[in-house]
Amino acid sequence: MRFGIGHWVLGIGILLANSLSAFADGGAVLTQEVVGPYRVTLFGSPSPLRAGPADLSVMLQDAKTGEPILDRAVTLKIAAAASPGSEAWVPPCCSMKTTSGAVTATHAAAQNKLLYAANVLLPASGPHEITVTVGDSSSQLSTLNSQLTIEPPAPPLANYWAFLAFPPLLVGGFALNQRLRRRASDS
Amino acid sequence: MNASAAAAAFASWKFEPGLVAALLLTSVLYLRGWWKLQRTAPHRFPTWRLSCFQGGLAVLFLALTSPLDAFANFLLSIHMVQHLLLTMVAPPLLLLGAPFLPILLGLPRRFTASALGPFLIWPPLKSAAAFLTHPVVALLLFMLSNIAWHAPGAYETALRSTAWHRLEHACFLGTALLFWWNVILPWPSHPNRPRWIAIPYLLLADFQNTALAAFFSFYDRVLYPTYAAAPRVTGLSAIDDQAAAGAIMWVPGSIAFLIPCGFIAIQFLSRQRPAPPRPIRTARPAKKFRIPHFPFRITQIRRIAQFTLLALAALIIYDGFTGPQVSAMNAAGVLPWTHWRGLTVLALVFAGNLFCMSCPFVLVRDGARKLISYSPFRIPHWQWPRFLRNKWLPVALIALYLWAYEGFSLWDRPWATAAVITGYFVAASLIDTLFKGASFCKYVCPIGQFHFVQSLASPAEIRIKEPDACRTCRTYDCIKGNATQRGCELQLFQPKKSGNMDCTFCLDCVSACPHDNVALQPVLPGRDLWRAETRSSLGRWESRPDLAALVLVLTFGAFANAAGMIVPIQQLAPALGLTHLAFTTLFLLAFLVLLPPATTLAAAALARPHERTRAPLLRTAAAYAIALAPLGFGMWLAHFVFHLFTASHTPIPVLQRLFGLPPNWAIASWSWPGLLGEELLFLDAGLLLSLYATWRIAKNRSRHPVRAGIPWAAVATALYVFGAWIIFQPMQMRGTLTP
Repeated sequence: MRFGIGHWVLGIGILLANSLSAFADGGAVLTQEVVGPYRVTLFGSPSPLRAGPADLSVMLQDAKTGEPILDRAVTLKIAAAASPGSEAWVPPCCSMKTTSGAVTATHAAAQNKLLYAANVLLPASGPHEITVTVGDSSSQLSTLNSQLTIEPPAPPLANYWAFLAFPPLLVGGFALNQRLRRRASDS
Repeated sequence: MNASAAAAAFASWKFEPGLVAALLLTSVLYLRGWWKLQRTAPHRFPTWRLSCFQGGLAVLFLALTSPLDAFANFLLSIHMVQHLLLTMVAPPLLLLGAPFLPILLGLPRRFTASALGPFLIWPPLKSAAAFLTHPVVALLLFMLSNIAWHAPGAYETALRSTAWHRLEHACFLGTALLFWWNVILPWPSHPNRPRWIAIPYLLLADFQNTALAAFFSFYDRVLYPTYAAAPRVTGLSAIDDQAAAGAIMWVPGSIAFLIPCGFIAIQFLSRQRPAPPRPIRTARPAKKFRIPHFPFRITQIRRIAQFTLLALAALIIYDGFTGPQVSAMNAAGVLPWTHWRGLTVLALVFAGNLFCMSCPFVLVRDGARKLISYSPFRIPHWQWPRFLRNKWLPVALIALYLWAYEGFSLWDRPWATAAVITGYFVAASLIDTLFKGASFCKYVCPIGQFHFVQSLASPAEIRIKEPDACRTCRTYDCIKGNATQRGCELQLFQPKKSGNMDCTFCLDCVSACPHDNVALQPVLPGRDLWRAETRSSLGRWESRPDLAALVLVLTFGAFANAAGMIVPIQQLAPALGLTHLAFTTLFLLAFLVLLPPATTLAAAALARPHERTRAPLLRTAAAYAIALAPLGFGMWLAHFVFHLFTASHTPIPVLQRLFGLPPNWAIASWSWPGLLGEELLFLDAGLLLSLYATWRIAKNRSRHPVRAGIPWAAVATALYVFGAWIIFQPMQMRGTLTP
């Protein structure tokens, strides 16, 4: 087999495919406040938040020292502050799993184990109020209320277009392959 | 940060299946190729190359899944370490492994030669590669990527969006590979420029890196708002963190450029001395890999699987008749419709027809036969009627089953499910006791036919190892059997058997062969679809319209069955003023009885003018229709895997109830948002295999394969579009307590 420059392209392609499949955390800070003894930072992904499934994460720190606090019970609740806008589209496989009421945020659901995270369903676009409740071992509750504006949902195809583009791309590659092979055999 | 917070931070690893699979695949391909090269050119591929490449992959894994990634949004300095690993550490290590030849050799030879070969020698691609690896271009791309992605707008976009962040990482890694290629010149590339050029090349890159690092270190405002807003988890303020990021970029970054620069300078300035001759290791013969001895015989494993499924069937029948008549609360509503179906299709993808191998109906049938052999009465043992020795009866039974399943909501009636399973045991025992061979499996069983057709795309097949051993065989034990072992009851003669159609994986032939020449072996999925040969007991595809009908009813049935559970289709019945049963009857009549022959005969009519030898329309249709099987399988897979994962935990409360424990009906689920993507991927794979099979059949039969194949590709594509539409629709959560 002759070794050509195309081999390098193949190798680089394989290596690039590795990096393309890497997931990166794209969460952004939504709000940060001192509530009682805590500094509470709320993160949201996607950014900006859109109606549909979303990841919300909370970081708790000691308001004075900034030390992360890991042993509290954190609950998130989202309610529409005005008449809801466009309704969310939820993948059918998640319609029995994603909850829209109060949800408990946990370290288990977070990649960054300093955070308390939960998957929530943002049912519609428009202004919403989010309530983060932090409970300690003595059942004392601290509550953060914040206003959020949720954007209309992205079209379902926006998240899955790559799966639909895959067959035409491969068919195109196959057609080119056949053309090149025919040309090579003709010559 | 206190100890518990530090422990939590270090535990912040991420499991990303796609990334892990890609890295593992690359690692295995390299290892496989390196292993081969070790035999033929050991001096070119010493162990250090393997270590470097695998080390490079490990660095990629570390950069993309370790806590470095989890804290990239909190601290710029951590993010900088991640980017340095992607640009300065992983690429040189990967290239030191000289990866391209090992990876090419690691791929299947035919795939490399046929699929990749034409591209590898394609002049435009060669020119593009030569252009991209030119030192000036590679250096400019590397520097441009480094500067552009650190511009506040681009960097912030990447921090806020997963897709942009992936693109940023791809740019860093891709341009770094091009950059380091000119420094390392991995074997077998030949330097066509003076080696000293690498010195200014590296110094220029270092100059750019230093300038950017100095900017980070000395700029007195926080460049990126994300880091200004991020909670401070260490003692560093945002501006100190930015300065630290600059220092990391500056010092380790410069070292990464200056070490190879110094090394090349020393090489260049040193007097060239001929290297002392060293012994070159010669090629060694490859050792054969032997499968370690397995403590059980395969027939024993089969019996264990059969008894397990028999016990489960007994449980389902008992609960179906006596338990609550709510599908999600009954073993008969959960186990067969959700878990058994999902697991058997997954087994078909990864192994083969494992259900027929462990079929409990055959176990009971064998028991009934043995009992009857002791009977004082003479029981007739007839040949299966000649007019039924085809697939028309199962075609009708499958259509009937699909109609009953949807029309009478069979999935939601545990007693009916139990009755069907009981009927199955009775029918299998009765038919196979009164008739010779495995008449029930071959000519009646709809479940068996389903598995026969879907296993055409499985990666394993029972076939002979060495054709020569069969040529000299005169006893034909594989089909006739012998004193201790029966032969194939489905009349498949191993030397002429091809593919999985009609094969129940019972392994009787494996046990019967006195030459140990029959075994379960890996095959290219779907290859039997386009092979134009006469198969034992089946003949040629084109001469079997009944087989074509079986494939069509199962393919179109896959889409009709999935469509039955989506809301837009369910809303059609009241909109048309029809009852559910009437609508289902009309829908299935159209989709199973009218549409398949209409579309396939039309496609055959369009393909026929291009045939080399003009065959009757029905033969052309039968020859091509078989190619649709993988598409149907893709849809079944998407559908059943959806149910398997969304209702993954439903057996737990059912079993709790059955065993007298307090059931917890608030169950969890293994579904995840990415499941829809996996469903689409199954459908994609089915479409692509169907299109490829169509192409191969058209090439065998036609003068103009493209023209002959287009009508069939259109049918497959239309079904694919319908399937993709179904997958996006809101669905009934069958087998769960969710409405």
